[in-house]
Amino acid sequence: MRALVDKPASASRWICKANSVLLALFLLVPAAHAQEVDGENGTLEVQQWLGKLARAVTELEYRGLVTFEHAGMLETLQVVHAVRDGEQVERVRYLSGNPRELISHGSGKNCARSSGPMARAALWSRAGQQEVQRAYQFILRGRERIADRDTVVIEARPRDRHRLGLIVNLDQETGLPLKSMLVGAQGRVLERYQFVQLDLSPVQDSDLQPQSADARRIDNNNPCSNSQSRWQLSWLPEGFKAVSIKPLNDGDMLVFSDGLSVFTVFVQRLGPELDFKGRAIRGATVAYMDRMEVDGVSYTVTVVGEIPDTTAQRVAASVAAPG
Amino acid sequence: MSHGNHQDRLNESLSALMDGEASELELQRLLKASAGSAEVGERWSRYQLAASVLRREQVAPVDSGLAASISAAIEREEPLSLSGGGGAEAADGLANSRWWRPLSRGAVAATVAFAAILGVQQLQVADSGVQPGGELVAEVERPAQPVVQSSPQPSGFYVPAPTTRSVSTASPRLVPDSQPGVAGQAVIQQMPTPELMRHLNRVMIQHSEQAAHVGSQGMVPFARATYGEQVGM
Repeated sequence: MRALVDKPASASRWICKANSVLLALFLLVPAAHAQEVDGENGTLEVQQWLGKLARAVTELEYRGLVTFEHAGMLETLQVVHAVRDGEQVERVRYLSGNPRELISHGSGKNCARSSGPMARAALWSRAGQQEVQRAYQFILRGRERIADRDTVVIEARPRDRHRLGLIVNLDQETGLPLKSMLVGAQGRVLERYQFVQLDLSPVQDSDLQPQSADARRIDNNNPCSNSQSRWQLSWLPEGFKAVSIKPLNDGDMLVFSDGLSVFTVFVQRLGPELDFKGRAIRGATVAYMDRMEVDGVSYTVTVVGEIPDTTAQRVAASVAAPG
Repeated sequence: MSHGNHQDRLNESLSALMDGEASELELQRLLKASAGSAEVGERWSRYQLAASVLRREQVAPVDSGLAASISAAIEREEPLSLSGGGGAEAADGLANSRWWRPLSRGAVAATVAFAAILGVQQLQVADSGVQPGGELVAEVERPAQPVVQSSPQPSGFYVPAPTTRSVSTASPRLVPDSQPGVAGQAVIQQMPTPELMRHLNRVMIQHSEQAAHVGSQGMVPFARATYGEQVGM
């Protein structure tokens, strides 16, 4: 079998072109039905849905079966979300592949963006929403049935090339996202998370217990810290702001968000075995690694997030220690 | 010898098709050749078998005569319209089938075209993202084909198989930056060292757990955070 690298690509490029025309046709059809959210009514409707979404993901008790798909991989998982003493308790368990399970406690508190309450409930406030709308254009794309429930399809289309798009189906009754897709350049779907079954009855305590011996528990009682970091970024894509700065054993971790997308910058003193310059991709998540030298000390910069790899690369290159 | 050359070219094309890299022209040539002789089809199923073995998949023994006997059975089958009634009706049926035949051919062609689009999309992914050079990675990146695919029918080549990579490849794909100044150089994918793997997994998990408190994506970040977790981490 031929090696993959030395193929003459001209013919396939031609096919690609033909395909993009076809693809454009497919995309145009739903676009004809899409409602542009320019009118006051449309904007209001989207705002109402986003508010509903924000409340649903924090307050709603649910459990269900989910498919999680990226780069041709399909995994199935079980998710449980409950509220105990005002705090969220969440359990994720993979039903396919290696047994993996995570239980998260106490993510009731949300990280604040310096400009206002931006958190998991980023979309609660009108101000927060307006900021998000500066980075994305929201489009109501009609209705679709997911997991035997009626949903409203909303597309968040990025206004520049520094972030990914999001298409999310909100449960008509509760506002819970039942399907969400991250969309990259040329409309390529990078990741899809979709319910196959949803149960909205109150969650029993037994449902929150780990089902495997080596389930990982994380405690999020203090998820966002705002310690100082010596590192600064000379370039940030518009709308992104620091939400959390955390010291690590071997460096710092800085988290940035535009209200929908999140990326994290790690600056660490790591050994020479981690001397790697380039990107690593898993589904919609990209990690761009770079090396820099400050005062004779070598640091590893890693930018991780659900962002285009060009953005990650540019952010990594912009890390500096002023002074 | 021109025949030998032709055969070589066909084999080359067939192997390109295995890699999902065959051009439109090669595809047509293969389809034509496979209609003419069973050799191409047989070679195709041998390639599939070899690939399956390389992937350490369970392989069912393929009866090469199976497709032939099915084809023969289909040949023996009498057309429905003919078995139904007398002369006029039969003639009518014949006309009908003549009229339909190009249509159904079109339908098959449409199926093939659709499958080809799927294939090329995967190709595009490879183009824009990674050019797997490491053999091991190239193996797992390739769409897994159903094991039993001995059908010599051209349309049988294009059953769009889902890309099912095994979970052990949940590790991120690595693409080092290309050397500046070297135009058109192929991006070689390197196998990450265990240290690099651990680092990438760790930062991805830490990032996802943070993202769970920031974005409005519900439990998706937790799904991401748990995804790359490995036993013993």
